[in-house]
Amino acid sequence: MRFRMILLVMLSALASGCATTLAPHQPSVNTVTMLRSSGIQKLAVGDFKLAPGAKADIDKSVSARATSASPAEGTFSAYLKAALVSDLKASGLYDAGAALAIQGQLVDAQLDTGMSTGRAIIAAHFQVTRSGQTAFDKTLKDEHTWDSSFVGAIAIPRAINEYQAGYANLLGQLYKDPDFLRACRAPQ
Amino acid sequence: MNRIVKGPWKWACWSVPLAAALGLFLSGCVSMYVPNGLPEVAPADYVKPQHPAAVQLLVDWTTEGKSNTKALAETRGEVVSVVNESGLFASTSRDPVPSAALLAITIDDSPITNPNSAFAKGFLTGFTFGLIGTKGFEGYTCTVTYIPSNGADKLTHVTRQPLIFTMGAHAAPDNSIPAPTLKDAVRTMIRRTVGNALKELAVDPAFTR
Repeated sequence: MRFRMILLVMLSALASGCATTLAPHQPSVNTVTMLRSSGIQKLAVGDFKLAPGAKADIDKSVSARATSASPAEGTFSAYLKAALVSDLKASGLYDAGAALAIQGQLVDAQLDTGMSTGRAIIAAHFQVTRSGQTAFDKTLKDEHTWDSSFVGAIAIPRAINEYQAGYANLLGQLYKDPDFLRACRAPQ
Repeated sequence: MNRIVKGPWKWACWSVPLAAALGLFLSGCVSMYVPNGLPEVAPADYVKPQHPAAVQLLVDWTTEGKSNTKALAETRGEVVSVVNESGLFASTSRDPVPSAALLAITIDDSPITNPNSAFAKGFLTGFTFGLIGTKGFEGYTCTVTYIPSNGADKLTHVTRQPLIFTMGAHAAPDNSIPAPTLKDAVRTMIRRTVGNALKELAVDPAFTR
């Protein structure tokens, strides 16, 4: 443990004052198998943008102590869209021309790196339409905490990872939402 | 809103010169070793199916059970290479394939802090712990899951490989090979864990049915 602490203090020097680009979202096997067995029809994915009234800076980057991270897609609303498309494609459920379509707005995004407990909040509004008619309209929120550390080399990458995980958690909530599933399955 | 916690920033300001001094003093004194155990698997070692089929390949990297997209981005290519070199599948794709066959590979990275724990014993059978105070152990668990088609039973195979880090003037750990860099150590770990898990999958009666 002493060895690990010394190594991590050394790495703290590298971890302070950095800007980093987030790695792209990767569909997980749990998500893919869940979507494959969900019975939902193929979806098109429309616009994803910042919700009216939300602070513009939450869409551009996130800060973990002296490190800032931004998505390769340019905005976090675009990142959320890309993650959704990635999950649907991996599950064989994406169709750009489908009559069923989903669009969304990023409502909130917060990251608190913490000294002993980190916390992230991600919230987005999702709307599903079927041939132009609204079938699902709901705001979902993921809030979760984790063990943080005073050592930057531990706290910073963990915080950024957990922040990214918040988007995956939010989409996981969407895929399990009974109203979303009902809206996306074939009409009875 | 995004917030910067100001307390640790003050700590980081004076820790930077300290860390830099430590870095200069200690640079070159951290050594990495890959313990023997799992063998390397050559392409000829796999029992290949008569008619290899295409498969959708999903790769994930977790750190202490939680997804780590940064580590995945740096290692995914190596995992895919091992799968392609095995010859067990005609091709691999991120997208679904017509048969709905799915191969999922997850590597989890967790520190081994208690050498007497059941977790540690799974990695370090046969090693002695006389020098545990000067060594760091990192345990890597590779889980390979294969689903031949929609609704079919999952076939799961798990392999494990530790990496050892030592500091200062210590002899190399027994039954280990030195790794010139961290990248080399991780690459060896991936090739051994993924390769051996795929080798087990290849002789699973349900895989070849």
